[in-house]
Amino acid sequence: MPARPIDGLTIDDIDVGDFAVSDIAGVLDYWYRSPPDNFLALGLCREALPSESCMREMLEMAAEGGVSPAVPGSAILTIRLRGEAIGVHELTHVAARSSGMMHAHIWNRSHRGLGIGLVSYVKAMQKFFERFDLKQIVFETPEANIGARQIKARLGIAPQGRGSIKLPILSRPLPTISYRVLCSEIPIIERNMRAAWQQRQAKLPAAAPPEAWAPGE
Amino acid sequence: MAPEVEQIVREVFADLLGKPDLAATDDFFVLGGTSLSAAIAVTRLEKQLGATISLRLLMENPRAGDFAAALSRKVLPPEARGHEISHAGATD
Repeated sequence: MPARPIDGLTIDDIDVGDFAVSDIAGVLDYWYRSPPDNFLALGLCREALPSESCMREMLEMAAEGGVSPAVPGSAILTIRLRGEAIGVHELTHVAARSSGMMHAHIWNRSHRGLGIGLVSYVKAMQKFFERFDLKQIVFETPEANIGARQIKARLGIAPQGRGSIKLPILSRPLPTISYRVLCSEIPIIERNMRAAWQQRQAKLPAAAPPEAWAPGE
Repeated sequence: MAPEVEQIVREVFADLLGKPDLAATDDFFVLGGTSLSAAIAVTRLEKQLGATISLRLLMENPRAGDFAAALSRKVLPPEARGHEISHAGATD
């Protein structure tokens, strides 16, 4: 079922910012307590996750500003909708001044399909490019993740080919579509995002008219 | 430091990173380890060694040999540092 549109949603309502201690509970609920259907569809194996206490420690370190000695500063950004934390973007495989691989997790189904990713991807890429002085950001998007592929198409990010990703939390290697964004492409991608957002808003069903006043009620 | 601990650490790192010939001097993060895979490594080692391990210990000691030495010094009880720990916690 498509998510219910949010009245008056604007690009400015969607932001990404530093991951905070207060965002940890949302991440843990997503990984350890959300319905399994989405995980199974993407080939994720919940049994392969680290213990929840270990994941919590990892997230606490991320909130302090750095997880890995190989990554200077936080590589997790929180997606906020009107100030509420609803998901994260994470950068892995970071080679400073060179490249990183970006991931997206929107925790609840009710926040998917609203165009939030369209905006948050661009804002997160802008921050990661600046933070790590990167030349490019790559994506290995599972073929089965149609929503994530549609976002790239709307942003004008062209597929570079097919690949495969093998992670310890996957039950099997996943076939992927590979994408690459150069830092110099961000202004064009931001324009594409704004155009796609306008197009999306124009297609949304008109807001229901105010209920007629009924005498006597 | 018991060589068995180092062997277990190397095996866990090697499996997670897909590097079968991982050496004691290899750095977990330089070889492609992420924060998530580090947390998984620690969880697996907790099960195998039967001990509670801080993720920070791995962050501070990313080389397999250094991490194993730190585990032996700071985490494992003296009686578990010898050869018998290679089977501890390996039943699940």
